[in-house]
Amino acid sequence: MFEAKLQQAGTLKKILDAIKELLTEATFDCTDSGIQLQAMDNSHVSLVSLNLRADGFETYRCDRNVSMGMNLTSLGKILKCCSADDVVTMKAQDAADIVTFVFEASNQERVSDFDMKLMNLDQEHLGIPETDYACVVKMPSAEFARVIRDLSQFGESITFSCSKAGVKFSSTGDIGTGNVKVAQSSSVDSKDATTIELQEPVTLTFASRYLGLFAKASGLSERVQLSMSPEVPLVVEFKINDIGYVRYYLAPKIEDDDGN
Amino acid sequence: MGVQGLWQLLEPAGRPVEVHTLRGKILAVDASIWLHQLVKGFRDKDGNPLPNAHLLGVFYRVCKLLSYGIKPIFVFDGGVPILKRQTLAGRRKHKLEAIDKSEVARQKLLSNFIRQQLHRGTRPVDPNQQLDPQIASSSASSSSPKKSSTATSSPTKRDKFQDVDLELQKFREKFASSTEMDVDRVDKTCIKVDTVDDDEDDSSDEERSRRYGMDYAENFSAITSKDFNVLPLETQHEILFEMQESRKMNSWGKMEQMPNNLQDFSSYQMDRLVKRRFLQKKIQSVQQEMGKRHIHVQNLDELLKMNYNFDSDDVVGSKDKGFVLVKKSPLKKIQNKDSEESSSLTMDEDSNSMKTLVDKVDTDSETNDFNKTVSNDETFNLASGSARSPSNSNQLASDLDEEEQIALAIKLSLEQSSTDSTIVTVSPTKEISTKEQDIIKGNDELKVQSGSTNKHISPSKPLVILPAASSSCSKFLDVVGFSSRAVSSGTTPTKKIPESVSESDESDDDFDDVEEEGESIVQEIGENNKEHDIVNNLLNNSSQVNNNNSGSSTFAIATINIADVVSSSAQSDGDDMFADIFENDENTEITPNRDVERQESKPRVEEAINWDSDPDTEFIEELGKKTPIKTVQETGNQEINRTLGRMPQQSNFTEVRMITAEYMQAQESLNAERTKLQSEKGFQARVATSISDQISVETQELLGLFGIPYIISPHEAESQCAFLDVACLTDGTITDDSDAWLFGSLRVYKNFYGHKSIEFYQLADITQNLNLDREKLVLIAMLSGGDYSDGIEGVGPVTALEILAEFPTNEISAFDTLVKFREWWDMINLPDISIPEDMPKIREKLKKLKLQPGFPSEAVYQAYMNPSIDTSTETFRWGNPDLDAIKTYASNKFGWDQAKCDSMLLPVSKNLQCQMDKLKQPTLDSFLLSNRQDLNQPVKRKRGSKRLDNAFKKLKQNSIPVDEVALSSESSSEEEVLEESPPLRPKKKVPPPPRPKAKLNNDYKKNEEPSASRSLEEINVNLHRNKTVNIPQVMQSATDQSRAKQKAIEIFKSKNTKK
Repeated sequence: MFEAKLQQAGTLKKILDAIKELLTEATFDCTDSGIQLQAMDNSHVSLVSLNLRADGFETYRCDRNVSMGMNLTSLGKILKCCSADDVVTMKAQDAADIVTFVFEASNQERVSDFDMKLMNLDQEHLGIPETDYACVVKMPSAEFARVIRDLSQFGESITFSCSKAGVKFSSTGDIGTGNVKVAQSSSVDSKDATTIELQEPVTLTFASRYLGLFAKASGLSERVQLSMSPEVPLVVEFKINDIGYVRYYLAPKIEDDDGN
Repeated sequence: MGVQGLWQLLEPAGRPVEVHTLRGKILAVDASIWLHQLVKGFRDKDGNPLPNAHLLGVFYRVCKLLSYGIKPIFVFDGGVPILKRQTLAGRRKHKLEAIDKSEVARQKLLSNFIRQQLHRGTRPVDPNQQLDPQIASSSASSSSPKKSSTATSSPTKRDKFQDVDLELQKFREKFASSTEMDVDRVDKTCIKVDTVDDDEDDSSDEERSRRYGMDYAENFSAITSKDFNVLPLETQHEILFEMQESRKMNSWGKMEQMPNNLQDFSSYQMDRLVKRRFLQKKIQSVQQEMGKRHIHVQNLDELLKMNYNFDSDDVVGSKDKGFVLVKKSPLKKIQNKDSEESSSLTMDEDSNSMKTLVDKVDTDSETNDFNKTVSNDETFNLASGSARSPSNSNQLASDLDEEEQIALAIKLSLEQSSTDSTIVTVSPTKEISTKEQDIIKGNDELKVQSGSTNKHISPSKPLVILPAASSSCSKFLDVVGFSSRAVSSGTTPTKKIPESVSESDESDDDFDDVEEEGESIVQEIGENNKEHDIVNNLLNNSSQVNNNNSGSSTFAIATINIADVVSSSAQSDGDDMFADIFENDENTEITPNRDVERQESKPRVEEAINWDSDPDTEFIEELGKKTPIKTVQETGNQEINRTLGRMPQQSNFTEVRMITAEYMQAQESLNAERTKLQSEKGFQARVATSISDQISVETQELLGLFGIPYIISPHEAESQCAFLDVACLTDGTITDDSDAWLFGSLRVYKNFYGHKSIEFYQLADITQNLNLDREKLVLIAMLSGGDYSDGIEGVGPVTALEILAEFPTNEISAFDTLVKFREWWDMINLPDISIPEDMPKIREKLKKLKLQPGFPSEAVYQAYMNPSIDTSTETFRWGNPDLDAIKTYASNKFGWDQAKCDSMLLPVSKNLQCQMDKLKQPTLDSFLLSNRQDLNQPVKRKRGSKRLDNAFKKLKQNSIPVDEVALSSESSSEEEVLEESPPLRPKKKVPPPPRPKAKLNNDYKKNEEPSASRSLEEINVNLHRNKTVNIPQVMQSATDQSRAKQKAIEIFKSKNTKK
């Protein structure tokens, strides 16, 4: 028996918005400690890792581990049926093939429930290596989304160059070149501050398409954290208030030096 | 190809992979198996091989590979090793047989086709002959009075018709006698034509081509002969077409007949040209002829299906023979007259909207029937005239003449003409399609006659009996009035209404209703009134004929009624439709006979009226419709004798129906046979094709355009692929050939092109899961039969596995297993040996096997283990596809247009652009610490059988001690193998891209310095395998790939040590 109650259905909606364009279907692994989702996109270039801790839910019960393979398009249809401030409850029996969503309107007048068929998805469990990142940038997620949106117009890749002073995002394409420099804020405490923890300068290039998809999660959190090291995947992390996080991993582009 | 059944054995070790995960991988493609698949796999709808199939297939596949960003290396077969050649010699025999079978199938097909045609041709004859006596007897009593009456009314017509009939008779006899001969002759001709076939067998090629040349000439003389013209048109066409096709196919074959003298060449060419032109002309003329004859058949088919939703199955009869009863034509013709000048378009409409019923009544039987009465004569003649309208739209002009005559008649008496044209017999025209020229003449005469008869008829028709007609007409109006709204085609009957109305002055109120139908009708009324006057005038002319015609007029109206009722009922309750039609069908069948009777009753004029009205009521009753035509019943006197006339006729029809059914059955079986033969032919022809050098060269040319590197293996492509894999020049091999494992491939992608998902096999998985290594796989191949040996009869992979499990060896060379097996078998089969009581069942079974002398062959084993390969480790380079050149190529070879090329090449060029980008997008796979060992446990599939399971288990148990030995004495075993191999070492062929001469796999290993990554892998391999695999140390140093691999190996190792 699995049951999880979330005060704000809007959170779930936003989470889905943040992943549905990268993944078409995914397995939600429900354990005692919470709900995890980890999946690569079709082309295996990026990876989504979602973690919702048990204590973040209003009530959470998971007697036995349940893996729920869901079609995210279908999930989207169901979540369309609730408003952002509904209370949502997810229920599933052990080894069940359906999951039930119950939406209770905040004024208690309306209760709706939806069953969704589950799928059996082949799941690769991938270990993400723990890495000490050479550079960790924290910045407002709105700012990040804007930079990505602006530079995506120029080229297919965006280069992140991190130095002590700040981060430079740049992109080159047919129409020309775009550069956005975001400097480290002087006041560290401010909510809108950009902070950079740097061990060594890093320059990496990423596909703007994926970055654009990651930026869709900026509604989840006001802050975004970018972790980079040479030749390892970029980690873009959005904290979901008090309940968990969604992390994106993106393989950097590399110079094609064999000339093939 | 490969070892039969080996894949099934390995299946549990495979795992599905997504094609996009292969992006950027370098994969060797075993082109030889591709080409085999393509040449044999691509076929047209009949199962025949397609031209350029290999190129098309390679094109598609290369596009797919490139669009997924895979870097392919094509590996072609070089020479064939001697062992394989020996094994293949046996198979080639089989192939030759297949060629012959294909040939035979073709011949059968053709002769079957001809038989079918002839059968179709003879069909009118058989039922006739059976019918003739019957008709004679059944009509014997009535014929004489009929004839006398006919004679008095129109003797000239009758005579003429009899002439025609005589001619028909003559033809029939002639045809019947010549049918058998025809079959024989046609068979012969076809066989001659057919012997021409392309084949690949080098030895018989020349011989065949020479034979072909002669055949061609012979055939040519055959088709010019007069006999050829006698053949049915379809057959003629078939033969001619076949000739033309075969001529195209075998232009190489004619090299032989080239004149030696240079001077003669141009005349030789001219001669050929003239011949070709003649053939072409002949075909055209035959096609034209056929076209003429087929139009009306097609029209009818369409009519049946589209306009009236008739199911042609329900309307019994063959497609090109039988009767067509056109029921609505009278109405239409009236319409025609109304819009008389209207032209050919209306004509078409006319024929299109005709309600046609294909009756199974036979042509000649019908003509015989008709022959006995004048009215039938008329009908027949009329019919022949109007039948031409659907049959050939080109004859519109003459039809118009006919039409005008008919229209004239109609003007004088609407009902009269409708009666006569109610029955439209297509049979004479159909007769033509029996392809006998005599009959064409006969038909011509018929046409002439029909022209004249029409003239005769027209004056004799101006007769309407108003009292009889008016009463029925008024009722008829009711029927039409209620049906016309529902039925769109019902408007045609309504047009008739005003006419009837004007004639019958009573039904003004009804008329009002009808008036609503359309203004056009109002206009018509004016005309009709005039006509009415004329009719009245004529009415006075001859009262005798009047009576007769009144009968037919009511009859005609009744028929129309039926038509209307049917159509209305079809609208209201569509389910009853077929029942109605069927009844209708029967009714209309009877109509000619009724006419006969009418003629009979001609002397008794008063009765005739009764006669005619009675059947009308009959119709209505039969239709079972609650039609409001009660007055017809009222006016019609309920006569008892009405049925008397009909009964014998009906039996007559059932007879015919049975015969037709028989014919249909025969036809069906012939059809079935034909399709069967066709597919057989296709299959055999495909088996017969083989890969020629030309195909390889063409493919290589295409690959060049795509910028794909290819190498030609000294011998087998699979062994070369295996080497490239082992040497880390590639990331695996795309092949469906299980031989790849025998040559030591490490990674194989199977089912790359197919509906199933791609399966990925690794030797490591196989070793781990199935306890099979390369040596064991080779042994299995030797036992069950592969490319290099035929194996032991009755031994498949499962039994082979059992043998391996039964005779485990601690020896170093796996080959000893077989030696041991042989020794045991020799011993156990000695006559004086006592069989131990406790011998396991498996051994009992093995004892029964028949081992060939010379088994096991060390040579075969070595051929698998040390194949001759090109051991160059030069890296490959990929060029950019020359898109423009590819487009030109595609349009030349496949006839593709720009759009098609673009759609095919779009993903390729898109991928190309990605590659042009200096930055490469790697996947996360290489970064993530994937728990790959999870994946290494492939989805457990059901194993085939308990036997297999047991064998695997046993093998596993046995393998443990072997494992230990192998680890310790590995190197020495390598040496041993090497010492034995030299005599087998084949001479190397230098492939086109010159590479340094390299040594064999094993030599290679000794020379190279092991790199760090190499050693890791080796350890890993040793842990898993019973014995080592010859991995050369040609590892690319410190690439990302090897790094990832190292990680994986580490995990692997740790996992295994835990165990």
